Amino acid sequence: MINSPFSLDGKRILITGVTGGIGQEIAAVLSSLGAFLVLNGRDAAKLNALQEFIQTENCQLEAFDLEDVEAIPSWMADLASRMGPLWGVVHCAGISDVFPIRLMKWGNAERIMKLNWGTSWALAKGFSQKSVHEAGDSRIVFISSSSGLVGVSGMSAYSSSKGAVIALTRSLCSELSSLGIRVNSVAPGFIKTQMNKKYLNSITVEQTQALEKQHPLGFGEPSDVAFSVAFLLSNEARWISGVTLPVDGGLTAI
Amino acid sequence: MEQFMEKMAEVLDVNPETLSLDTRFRELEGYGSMVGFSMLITLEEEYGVNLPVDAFLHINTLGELYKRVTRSDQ
Repeated sequence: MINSPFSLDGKRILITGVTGGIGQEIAAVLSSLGAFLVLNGRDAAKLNALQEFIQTENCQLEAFDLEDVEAIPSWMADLASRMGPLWGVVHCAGISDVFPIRLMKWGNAERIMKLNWGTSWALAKGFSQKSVHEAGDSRIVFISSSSGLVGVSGMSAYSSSKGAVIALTRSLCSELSSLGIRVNSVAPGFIKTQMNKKYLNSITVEQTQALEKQHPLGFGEPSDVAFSVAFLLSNEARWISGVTLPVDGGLTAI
Repeated sequence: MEQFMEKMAEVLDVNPETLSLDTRFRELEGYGSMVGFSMLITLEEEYGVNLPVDAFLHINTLGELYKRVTRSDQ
């Protein structure tokens, strides 16, 4: 008999971008599975509000702006020196932008690449330090996107950055396996978050219907992503590394 | 107004001299949903005008759009 599959009891997991819709739900799910969470966001007040939402004392709030990419490894080393090595990292922080390439400024494209791919790279660099990850058995889960797998008009920079995260996942699978670190990513389709609701308010009803039709199972919920992350983190996924799991209601299958 | 028309020309990918306040922008060659979306984003980022898409669909000329921008300045 299997007892509590997917249990994360006592596992110390860093979650970035935790005040966003998907990050918040991931924090709630991992907390319910018993994890000790290191919750990262830029805004300390929003972090405090999140702790009240998920109703746990089993966490540590760490406000840090990941845009300071070069400082990420030393920040992680400091975290580990204070609370012990991390068992896992879930990287949800990132930005999105819909803008035709003709009108997009290089500065915006560069920032998207930095905040989506650059932070992923830096977190992996930080996690690979001996003092930061639990020796022999730890894991990283990145949040990529379905638009990293298929082309989407108006998302040239965002799609590129998420595609780069997918390539990074595969490369790190190879490089970090000797340290016992599994690396996977999740590629969500259109998820009903506050940020995406704002996008839906800026397009017509017909455009919304067309977008939803692209997903055979309709739009997704943040919990759809959260449970997929929990699975990839769990010991039940011990033989899975280097994959990008589409969680998209069938979007990229058709 | 000149700056507004230059911005719109950039978004619509046309020579600014071909535009006027009477220009019915949806009838311009190359206009599509992505261009329309870009116009909404530009209004928000450049002029702080958050125009709901339903309201935008009832606007037909650059002059009507410009009124929204100048109204927000008051």
